[in-house]
Formats: sequence, structure tokens, C-alpha cells
Amino acid sequence: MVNRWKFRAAKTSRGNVIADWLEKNTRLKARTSSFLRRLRELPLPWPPTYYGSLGDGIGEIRIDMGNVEHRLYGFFGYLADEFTVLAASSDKDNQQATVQSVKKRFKQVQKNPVATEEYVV
Amino acid sequence: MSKKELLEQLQDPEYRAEFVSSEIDMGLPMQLRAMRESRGWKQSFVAEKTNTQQPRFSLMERPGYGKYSLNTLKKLAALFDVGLIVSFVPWGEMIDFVESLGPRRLSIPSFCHESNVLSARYSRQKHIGTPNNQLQFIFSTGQVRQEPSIVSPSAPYQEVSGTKESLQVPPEMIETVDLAYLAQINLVGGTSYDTAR
Repeated sequence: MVNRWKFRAAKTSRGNVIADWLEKNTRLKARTSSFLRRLRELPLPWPPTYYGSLGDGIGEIRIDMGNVEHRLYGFFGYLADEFTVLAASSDKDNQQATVQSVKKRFKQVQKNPVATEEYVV
Repeated sequence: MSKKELLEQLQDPEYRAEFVSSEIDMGLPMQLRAMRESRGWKQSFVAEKTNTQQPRFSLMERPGYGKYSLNTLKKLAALFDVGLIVSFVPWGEMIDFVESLGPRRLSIPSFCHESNVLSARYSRQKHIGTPNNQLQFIFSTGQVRQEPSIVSPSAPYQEVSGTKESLQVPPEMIETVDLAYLAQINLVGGTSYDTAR
């Protein structure tokens, strides 16, 4: 029996990083929910189509829609069966920059845990 | 997300349309991958058996792919030896389906793997369809353990030993008999009717 994964998201002034990212895109919101509802049922390792490690303790959840690559960047933790999202992006051109900033943030997070909340799908 | 929260989101007509689309476009590819991997099959094997190319099948397993033809789905269902329901449904049913998603909704077993479980379940749960919308519940009171059975007047009767009384359910009540109700009445016999969709 596999435990169901929980998704957490770093809090922001308006809500959290996932909710902010999805705020004005109904289609992406619906697709992300459908995807995460199923992904949370899968044991590790998640298939490379769904998830990729980026090194230094972080990884990306991959939500591809045609030629647009949507990404949820984060890490496994803080608790078991949790994946915490630190950033979300749909911008392929700036992916490298986003990854670097997420890695930097993850280092900070390890020292001072960031405020998160569960993102319920 | 609770059913209530989902219902709130579905108040938006645009979200409703995207929700239906997403459940198909994201759900089917993830099911396909899970079913294939649980059987230890390669993409090339499935592609060959369904008269398609491996790169094409690889696309079909990618979440977001929404170009399946009904014919392809039927071929895949036959190959994986699983059921396939393509049907318009009430929203309540859709919400129940989504909220009941679990691992067993992703990797669907083949008929062979499921039939033993079904045989055991159906032997305890005598439930036969009724052409005239009339159900008859026969309660076996002569046994130590009470086990309600549902039989059809038009179908061959199954002997229930020790039967002392029967209860006719009027047709107007039938509309109120839903799966949850059937599950409830089955509890006496220790049979749990699976209402998860």
C-alpha cells in the first residue's frame, strides 16, 4: 500500500506559489489538478515524464501541455510523503535561471524552514 | 480537495469545461502508462499490438495528450483486457469519480486477474437485474447470520435456505435505491459493495 503524497507550497503574500501561478489560467489549473491528483498516488520513483531530479536536493514536476513546459520546482520533505514546491514556472526560456534561484532558495530553506501550506488537489 | 470545494470551483462554466477535458487528457495517458508498466510491457509491444508506431504510443502516454479516437481506445481496452466506459454522466458522478481516485484507478488489472475477486464477490452478493424495475428483497431469517439477497422475479429463483419472509419493494421506491443504499443493506451479510468509481 502506497501512501498518498501531499503537496505543499511556499506561502506568498497572496497565498502560495502554486495558487499564485495558476490564478489566471483556468486550463492550467484544471490540468495541474488532474495531474497532481494522480501523481500523488504513485510510488517513487516517479516516471521521468512526470518528474526529474535537478541535483542539489531539488527536482521538477513536469506538466507538459503541447509545446509549453510547465514546471513545479521543489524538494521531497519536510515530512515523509510530502513534496514541497518552492517555485512554479511556465517559461521555457528562463528555466535555467529559475532552477538556479530555486537551488539557492533551497539552501536557505535548509537553514531556515520556509512557511508552507498544503496545496490540496 | 473536498467534494464541496470542488463543487465551488465547478461553479465557473469555463472551469467545468476544462475540468472534463483535463480528466480525460491527463487521466488516460497516466492510466495507460501505469497499466503498461504493471504488465511489464514495452511501448513498442503495445504499439505493435495496436497497429501504431512506438513514437505515437509514447505520445499517447504523455499527460495532456487528448487525441485518442474511440477506435484506439477500444483497441487498447482489448489489449489490456480491461473495461472501458465512455459515457456522459451527471456532475455528482464525476465528482465522486475524481474524489475516489486511487492507485487501483490508475493501474487497472486485466479480466483474468480480476475475475477471481469478482467471482467471490458476486457469489456473496446475489444481485440480478430486473426488466420490470421491481426488486424483491428476501431476508433469510432462519440462519444464524442474516444475509439479504436481491433476486429478480423474472430471473430463475435462487434457493435461499431457511427463508421465512420476503419483502416486496414497490416500484416507486426503486428510484431511491442507489448504490449507497445497496451498500448499506449489504452490510448485514458482510459484503461490502464497492461504490468507488
